[in-house]
Amino acid sequence: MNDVNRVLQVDGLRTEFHTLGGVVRAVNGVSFHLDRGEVLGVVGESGCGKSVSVMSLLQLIPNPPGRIVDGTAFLGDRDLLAMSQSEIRKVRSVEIGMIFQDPMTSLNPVLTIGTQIAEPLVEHKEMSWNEALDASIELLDKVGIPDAAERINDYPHQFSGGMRQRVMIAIALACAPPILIADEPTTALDVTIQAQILELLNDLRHSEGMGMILITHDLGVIARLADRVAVMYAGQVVETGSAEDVYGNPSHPYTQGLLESLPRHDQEHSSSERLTSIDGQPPNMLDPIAGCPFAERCKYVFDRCKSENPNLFVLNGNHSAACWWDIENECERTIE
Amino acid sequence: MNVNEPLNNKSMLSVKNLKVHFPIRRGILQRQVGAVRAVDGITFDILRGETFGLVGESGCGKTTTGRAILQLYEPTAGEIEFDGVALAHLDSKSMRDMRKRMQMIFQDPFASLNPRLSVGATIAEPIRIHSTVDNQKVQDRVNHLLEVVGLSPDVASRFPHEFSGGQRQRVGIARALASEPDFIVCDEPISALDVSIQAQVVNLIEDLRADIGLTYLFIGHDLSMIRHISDRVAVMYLGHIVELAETDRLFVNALNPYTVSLISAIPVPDPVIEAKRQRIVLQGDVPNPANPPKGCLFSTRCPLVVDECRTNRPELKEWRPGHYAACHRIDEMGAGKGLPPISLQQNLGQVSQ
Repeated sequence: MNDVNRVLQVDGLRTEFHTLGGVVRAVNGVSFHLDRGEVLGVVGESGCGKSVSVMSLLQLIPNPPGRIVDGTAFLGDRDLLAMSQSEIRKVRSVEIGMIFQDPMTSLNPVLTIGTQIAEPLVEHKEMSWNEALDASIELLDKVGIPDAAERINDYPHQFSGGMRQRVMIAIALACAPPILIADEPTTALDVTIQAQILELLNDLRHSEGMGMILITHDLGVIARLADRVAVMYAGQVVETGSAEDVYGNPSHPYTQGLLESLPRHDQEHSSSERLTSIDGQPPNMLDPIAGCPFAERCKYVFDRCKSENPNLFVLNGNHSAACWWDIENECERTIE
Repeated sequence: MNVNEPLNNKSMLSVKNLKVHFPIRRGILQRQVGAVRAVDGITFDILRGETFGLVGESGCGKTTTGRAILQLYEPTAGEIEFDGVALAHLDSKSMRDMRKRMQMIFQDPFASLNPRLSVGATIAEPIRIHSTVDNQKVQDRVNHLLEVVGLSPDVASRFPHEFSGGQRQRVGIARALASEPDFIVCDEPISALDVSIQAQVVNLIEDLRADIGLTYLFIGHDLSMIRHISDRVAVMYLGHIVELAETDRLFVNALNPYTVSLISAIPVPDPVIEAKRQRIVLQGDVPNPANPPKGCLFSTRCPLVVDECRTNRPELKEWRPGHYAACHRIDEMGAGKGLPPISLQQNLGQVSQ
C-alpha cells in the first residue's frame, strides 16, 4: 500500500450467500489491486465470483441473502467495506464508475438519457440542472453519440444496444471517476459493435487516465485491453500477473486449459484436429471444498491437492498462481 | 476416426433463392404495412458429409434460414431440396418421414428441454414417433444414445433441472440423434455454454459427424469456432449471403469488406498479437431489415463505399472456384491478384499473411 500509484487494494475478500440450499461461498478470499491508469482484467466462467467480487466493493450485494464476511478494500486510505450507506453512495459514480452487461436493464426506461447523465452531476457536483445538461451533451459527444444535443431528450428504447452502452459509459464517466468498473460491457453486443465499445474504452483509458477493472469471460477481450489479468475459479483468484505472462506463460492448469481449449480465427485448423477440452465441470458452490477447487478436473492432481487449498505462490515478479505443484516441485509439470 | 474422409461431391441439401419475410401488421384491421425481410433470397448447397458454417451478427437471418430449412417457418419464396426431394410439395405424411432425417440442436439448453419430462422420456419421444419398436428396445436405444453423448444411462430417470448447461446440451444432442438423422442444423449450440464446456460439446459434435456420418449446418456468431468446425462458410448480412467460400480461403483471403471487418473485429486471445493488430472498426449499426438500404446492404458502413454501391445492389458471383462474394469493389479487394490490397491487408494484421 506504499505504492503512490495504487488506487485500490483489496485483501482477503469473502462474500457468502445464505440460501435455502446452504451457504454459497461465492467469493472465497480474493485479493487484487489496481494502479492508476491501468486495466485489470478479471476473467472466469459464470459463477466463479468475478462479478460478486466487484459488486461487494461497492456494497451492491443484496443483504440478505448476501453478506460480506471478511476482507478490506482500501480506496486510498479509506476502507470501502467499512463505509456507511451515505459514504459509499458518494463513492459510487464520483470515485468509482460502473457499467454493466445489459444496457437496457441498467438504464431507467421512463427518464430521458439527459436526465440520467445529469443526475449524478447535480447530486454530487452541485451543478444546476441546466449546467448538468450542458455537461451531458459534452459527455455524449465524448462517447461518440452523434447529434448529442438533440439526443439527450430521447429515452433509452430509442437507442440501439451499442448506443445504450455508450450512454451507460457516459453516465459512469459523468463525475470523472478515477476508477471504472466494467462488468461484461460487451457480452450483449454484436462483434462489430463490441469492437466499437472496446475502442472507446481504450481511448478513454488513455485520454482520462482511468484505472479500469474489466470483468469478462472472453479471453480475447481481456487480451485486447488488459495490462494485468486475474483468473478466477470457484470464488478464488487462481492466477494473476501481467497479460503477457498469463497468456504467454500460463502456469495454473486451469488457465492453461482455458487457453488451449479456445479455437483461434487467426490460425489454420485442420478439420481432424480436436479441441483440447477441460474435462468435468466447475464444482457446485454449495458443497464445501476441502482442497484445491480445480483438483477434480486437473490432470496433474496429487494427494495434497485434495486436502489443502493452495494460496497464491509467486512465480516471478508479479506473476503468481495457486497450485501445489509449483509450490512443491521445482520442475515442470509432467503426468506420470 | 478420420474426419477427412473424402466428401463425395453430392449435394445433400440445396437451397434456391430462399426468402422468409415476416409481415408487419398495424392498426385495427391488422393490415400488412411492410415486411421484415429476415431472409431475402439466398442460394447455397450443403454437400453430403460436410459441415457448412453460417455466420453473421444477430438479426442477419442465420437462425431463420436454419428453421426454414427444417420447415419450421414457411418460406415466403424459394425452394429447399433435401436429398433431391423438394420439401415444399410434400404432404404431411411424407414430410414427417423426411423430418426424421433432419434434426436440430438448439441454442439454449435451458429452454429447449421440457422440464416435466425425464431425460429418458425426452430422448424416447422421437424414437416412439418415428418407429414401432417395443418398450425394451426403446429403453436400450435411449441408454445407447446417452452413452454416445457421454452421459451415464443411469441419468435417464432424472429431469433437466438436475443437469448443468453442458449436460443438458448433451441431452439435446441425444434427442436430435434419436430419429437417426442424416442432417442436423446446429443453431448456436455452444453459445450459452461456459468456455471450458464449449470445447467438450464441440468435440462431441465433431466425433458424431465422423462416427455416424452426419452432415451439419452449423450456425454461429463465434468466428473462431466456425473456423475450427466448418469445411465451408457462408457469411450473412441483412438476410443475404455476402460471401461463401472454403473455410481457410474465407479467413485468409476474404473478398467482401464486411467479412474482412467482421474477422478483424474479433479479438485474438493473445495480448502480444492484439497489441500489434490493426483493426477496422465499423461505424454505426446494422440497418433495420424492414427498411434495408437501396444499393449494397453494407453500403452504410463500408469503408470502401463508392457511389455505385449506394444505388446498385451487387450480386453474389463466383470470383474464384468455389469462392462467391457480393461486392462492387472486388477489384479493390484484389480478386485475381489473390491478395487483398495493401490498405485492407494491413488492417487484417495477423489474419492475412
